[in-house]
Amino acid sequence: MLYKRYIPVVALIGKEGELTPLSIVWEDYQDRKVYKVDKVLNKRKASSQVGGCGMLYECMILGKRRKLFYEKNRWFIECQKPY
Amino acid sequence: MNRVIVHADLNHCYAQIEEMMAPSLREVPMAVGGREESRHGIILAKNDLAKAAGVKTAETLRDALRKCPELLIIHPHYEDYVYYTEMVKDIYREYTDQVESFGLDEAWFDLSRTVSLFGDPVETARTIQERVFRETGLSVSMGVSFNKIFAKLGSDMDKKRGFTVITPESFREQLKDLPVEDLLYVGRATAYKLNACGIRTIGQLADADIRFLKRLLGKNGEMIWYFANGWEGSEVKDVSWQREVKSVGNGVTAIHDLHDFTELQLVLRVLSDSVAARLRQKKKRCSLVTLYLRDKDLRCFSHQRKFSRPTDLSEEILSLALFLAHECCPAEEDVFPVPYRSVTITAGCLSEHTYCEYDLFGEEAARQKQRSLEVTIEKIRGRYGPYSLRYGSALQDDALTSFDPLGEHTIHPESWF
Repeated sequence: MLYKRYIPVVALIGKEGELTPLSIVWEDYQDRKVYKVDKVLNKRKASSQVGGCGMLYECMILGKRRKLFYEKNRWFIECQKPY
Repeated sequence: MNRVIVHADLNHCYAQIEEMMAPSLREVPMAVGGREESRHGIILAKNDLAKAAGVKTAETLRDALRKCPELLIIHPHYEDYVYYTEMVKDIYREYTDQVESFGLDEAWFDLSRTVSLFGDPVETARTIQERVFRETGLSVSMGVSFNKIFAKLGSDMDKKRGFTVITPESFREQLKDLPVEDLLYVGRATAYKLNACGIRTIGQLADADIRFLKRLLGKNGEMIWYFANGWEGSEVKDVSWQREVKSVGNGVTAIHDLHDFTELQLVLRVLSDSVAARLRQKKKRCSLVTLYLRDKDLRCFSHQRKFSRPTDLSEEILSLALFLAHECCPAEEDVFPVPYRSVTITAGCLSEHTYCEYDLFGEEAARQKQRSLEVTIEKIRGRYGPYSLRYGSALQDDALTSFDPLGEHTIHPESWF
């Protein structure tokens, strides 16, 4: 089962205003880890199976393919853990 | 088809957007409804499971819950609805500059001249429907036809992400057995009159004598006869086109019933302030004020009167509204026998605010002074919030007057004309 989780993201705003996620921040009860976005595989408008829609950035993070969405003005990721 | 007009309709819009944002809502009967505590407790939209349970749009939450006790009520998120419906319309706007909104969830767009860019317009419409679903997760039903009326009819024929094509060759066969009330501008009253004359289907309406319809229904009768025969040639408006403002109105369902003139006056003052401010924003003045009242048994009536000269002053709108209230509300010693539930002030007969006409008795100077006072109040409220500057009288009943018709989201009903 997948869950929707809003997360902080470090992103680069390019000269033309385009957005590129550089790393994502994972906050747990105890700690806070920063994972680098190794590569943005593709970028397109899409809806998410966990609800919501926006600009989808399919990314490689730690060797895994992850779906990162920019929805309105914030980021969420489809993830296995509810919190 | 020479002209290809598409009408796209977001199916049960509010409920669908809620489901898109939280897909688990698809598994339970759910409806979007107003807040009962602020007395807006009606169903605005419902999902398929709620529909199957017999829940109807516009019925009270209480009735809906009686039919379906496990119904989940979600309060509306208007900002999201505006955001996502605009997102859908942006997709239409990528294909043509002729996109005409009809309310939040519906729009016409004209694909006749896009052949050289995107190929067959009917296929383009199908692509747009799929794109909307892929990119926003929302399903739209589409009607494709050679005029706006049949396009709308088509989108209503199959509500579940349907796609109906009505061509000039096939429309008589396709539409002949549909009830007349499916046609735009055939409401309950018109349908009743037509049915009484034995006209029950669109086919029968198309075959009827136009002179007879004109006698029966006036100009409207002629119009719907043309509609039924597919003779409707109005253009889909450009994206930049804005509906001309014909009236400005604000209304409220009060937090508690209004029992006497004092309470009514408090509410009318807030409403007239908002109406006047909106008139000034649009640089218009009104010559007509209409007061709508609905009592606690949900009986409504309206009353209207003209000004001797156009105005955009809250003070003048208020005093005319109060005059109307005194004229049409029965009261014993200022107390209403049946209390009122909701009240609306509408300013009509708008004219441009271009020059001011001085009158013989020099009242204009006082009006100018009043105007600058009201403009100042409006500026202060604009900067520091709607409750930063209020009339002392409003504090007599803080709960009753603490609403902001100017700032709250308003969705305007739209008309074909």
